This record gives sequence, structure tokens and C-alpha cells, in this order.
Amino acid sequence: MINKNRVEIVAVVGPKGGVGKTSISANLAIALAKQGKRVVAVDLDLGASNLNTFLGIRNPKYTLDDFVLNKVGKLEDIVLEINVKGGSPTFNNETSIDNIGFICGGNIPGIANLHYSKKMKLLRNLSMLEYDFVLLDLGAGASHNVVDFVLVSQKNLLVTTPEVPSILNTYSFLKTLVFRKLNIAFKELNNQKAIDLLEKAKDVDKNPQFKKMSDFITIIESIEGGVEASQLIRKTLLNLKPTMLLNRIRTVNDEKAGIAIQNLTREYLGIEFVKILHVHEDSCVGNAIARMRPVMIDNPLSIFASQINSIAMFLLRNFNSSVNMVLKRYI
Amino acid sequence: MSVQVIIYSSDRIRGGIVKEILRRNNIGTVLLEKIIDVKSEISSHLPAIIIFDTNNFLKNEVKFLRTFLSSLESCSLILLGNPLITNSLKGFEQLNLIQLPDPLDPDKIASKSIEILYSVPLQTGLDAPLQAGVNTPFQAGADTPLQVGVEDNRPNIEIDEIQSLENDLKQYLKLLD
Repeated sequence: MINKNRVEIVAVVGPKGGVGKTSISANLAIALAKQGKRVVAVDLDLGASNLNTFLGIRNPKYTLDDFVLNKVGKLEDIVLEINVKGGSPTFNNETSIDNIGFICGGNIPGIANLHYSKKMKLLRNLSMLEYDFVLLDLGAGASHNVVDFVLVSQKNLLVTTPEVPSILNTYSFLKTLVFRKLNIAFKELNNQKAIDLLEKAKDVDKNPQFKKMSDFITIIESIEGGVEASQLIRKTLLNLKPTMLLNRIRTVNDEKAGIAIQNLTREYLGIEFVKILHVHEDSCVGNAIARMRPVMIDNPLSIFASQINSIAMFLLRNFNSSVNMVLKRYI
Repeated sequence: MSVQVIIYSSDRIRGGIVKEILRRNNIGTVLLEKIIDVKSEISSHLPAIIIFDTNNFLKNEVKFLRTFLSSLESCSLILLGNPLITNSLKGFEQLNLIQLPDPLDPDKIASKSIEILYSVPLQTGLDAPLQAGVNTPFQAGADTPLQVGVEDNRPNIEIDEIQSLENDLKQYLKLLD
């Protein structure tokens, strides 16, 4: 059964640890809820979850472990409604946030390597949640689990800091994402030659002719069933539509990192960012974390809070319309 | 790093913030708390920019500043502070005057400084001197008047920096030909 009201799944992802994914997720959920949207924040940093601490929730009644261990039937059974009367978690007495739900992450041994069937069950259940926005706070790395959650999301916020290691990880993650999606698509087409070429394209040292996606498409077009496969590649790239979120910007130079990675992904992967969003370094984030309070509550007038509000407005403006945006640009 | 910007602020914290953001952008600065020190610094070395923070300033300091800046034309003056005060300061018309009213916005100060430092001044004529710290990729042809818009040169500098970062990334990712 699929939810009749279309839910917008937004993946907050970043292959490098410590770039601020969880902080962004927690505060973005609040910013969207403040705009009257029904939001559920889901901690999918499997095995290393801590979104609850960013939201000030100390002892969650349910966690994802209950769902994975089949203690509950549906994912909605473990949604914690924040600030609902009756002993549910609250930030503090003076703050009231409605419309926001939270699914606490799991930490049972082995959850990081979620079994395929469990993962599919989780994905199905996510799309059935009756909320306007489902925010997925994903873990670091580029494992199949992380990548697959990104692939089922309507929007991806790719969080990175301006430092070179983080940018490199982001590029590699996007490449992994493209290859994973193409692999699935070629399997559906049952085009083994395309799958073999895709495998070759992974090693650009040995096969430099596959360095650029445009060259890869040209080569694919020449094989049997290549026209269909190449169309599929173009469609796949068009639908990826990631949004880059450059976090912890300190200088004007830092902002240029976003342009540099956009140029690289455009040239070599054929991917266009929907937008590059900026969040500046703000000491209030560290202060709020130390107090186990979201910045949106702890310091709502800070630069960070104001920029998170802008990101929420960006998501709302593009609510259910991201495909049109991407198409427009290509047209 | 040579001094490209003189910062005058009687508020050590505000002055320190401005100095730090410019330092992070590789801009050489000196922070001075006495207006008399500004004069002696200028007499030994003319900077491209003087940043004058009007927070807690004294009227006499402005008079003094006006006196010794009156003969300078190739200098930019950035006024910081309460907009009511910065708007009321007269007598700096010969300079490239920029007002950045409070609240103190370090990023804006940095971007404005970069814009000034890495752009050709709006002057006409082949003898027009270039500002200290200017890096101009623009070449005037025989029939091209040397009237260069500030915005014309800025992107080239930025493109160079982005290109350099891109090349670094390509090297790490083994994407270079």
C-alpha cells in the first residue's frame, strides 16, 4: 500500500563524517515544521545514530531496532511525536513545535549491514509515512545502504565542507551513485554488454577512454541495444538532481569550492546540481550541541538558523516540482 | 605579507574580527587603535584601502583623518559603524568611499576588499596608475580605450582560483589527461 498523499523524501547525505549532516537534518526538520509542514526526521545513520541528541531526546521510547527486530509491524509505530502531551519527549517548557515526528536510529550489532529484505521493507515503509516531508539523516560512507536510500529520495541534500578531502569524497560518492543507478538500470534492460562496459569504466586508470560520461555514452551508443541504453543514461543523470549544501563556510574563497565541484561533476559525470546552498560557520552550532538543543530553538536569530530557514524555504518552493526544474534547464 | 589595508578601530574586538577575516583571505593588514598611528603608517606606505570603524570614534579623529587624506586620491576608504554616523561624514568625496553599516559583516568587508584590491581603478587614459596590489589580466589594445569596469576583471581572478582548485581535485581524482 502506498501513501495517497505524496510524501517528499529528502536525503541529507555526505560521504565524509563530521561535515554537519545531523545538525542540518535536525534543524531543517524544525524549520520545515515551523512552516506548517508535517515532517518526520529519520535517523538512518545505521549503527552510529545520534540525531536524538541533536533534538534533545534522551530516552526514546522506540527506536529503529524495534522495527528491524520485528517488535512492531510498521515504521509508523515507532514515530515519536515531539511535544505531544502524555510524556513524549519535549525540548523544553517554553518551546512548542507541532507537526514534527522523529524516528530514532538503531544501534543493534549488524544493523549497519542491513539485510536486503529488511532494507526493502524499510524503504516501502518510508514511502507510506503520512507526512509532507520525510528527512533521512544518512550515515557517512558510500555503502549500498546509504546509496540506495539516496536513490529512493525525491531530493538529495549533498552536504560537504569546503575542504579538499570532503569535496573529493563528495565527487566519489556522486560517481558511486551514478554507477549504482546505471547498474540497476542496465540489469533491467538486460544489456550485459552495457554492464560490462560500466564495470570497465570504473577503472579510469586502465580505461581512460571512459573518463568522461559523455565519452562513455558515445561508446555505449555503438554497442547492440546501445541507443536504448544511452537514453537511459541521459534520463538517469537528469533525474539525479542533487542539491549541494556547502557547510561551514568561513571565507569568501570557501564558497568557490562549490563552483569547482559543480564544474567537475558537470564535465566528468554529466550531473548538474539543482542549486548550491551555503551555510556559514557559526559558533552557535557547537554551543547548541553542547546543550543538546537544536540551534533553531537555542538560538533562532543566529546566522545558522537563518540560513537553515532559507534552505527550508528552498525545499518548500521546489516541493514536488524538482523534476520540472531540471527539465526546464535542459530544455 | 605586505600591508594592503590599514584598519583603524578603537574597538579591539571589532578591529580584531576585521583583521582576522582579511588575514584568512590572504590580505595583509595592520590594525591601529590611534588615529595618529594611521597618519604615520600612511606616510611611510600608502595602502590600497583604509578601513575606518566609526564605533566609539571621536569627532576630532574624523577631522584629523580628513586633513591627511585630503591629498590622497588613489585610496579606498571603507567606513564601518552606525549608518547614521557614516552617512553624516563629509569631506571624503575624492576617495573611493564605501559605507558598510552595522551590523558588522566580516564577509562583506572581505569581499569588498577583494573587489577593490584585485580590480583596476575606474580611471581613463593610458597613464592611469594602477593601484597597489592590482593584478590586471586586461591588456589595452591600440584602439581600445583603457576604461576598465571594476566588474570586468574580478571574475578572471575568481576563475583562476576556481581553476586552480579544480586542477588540484582532478589530480587527486586522476582525471588529468
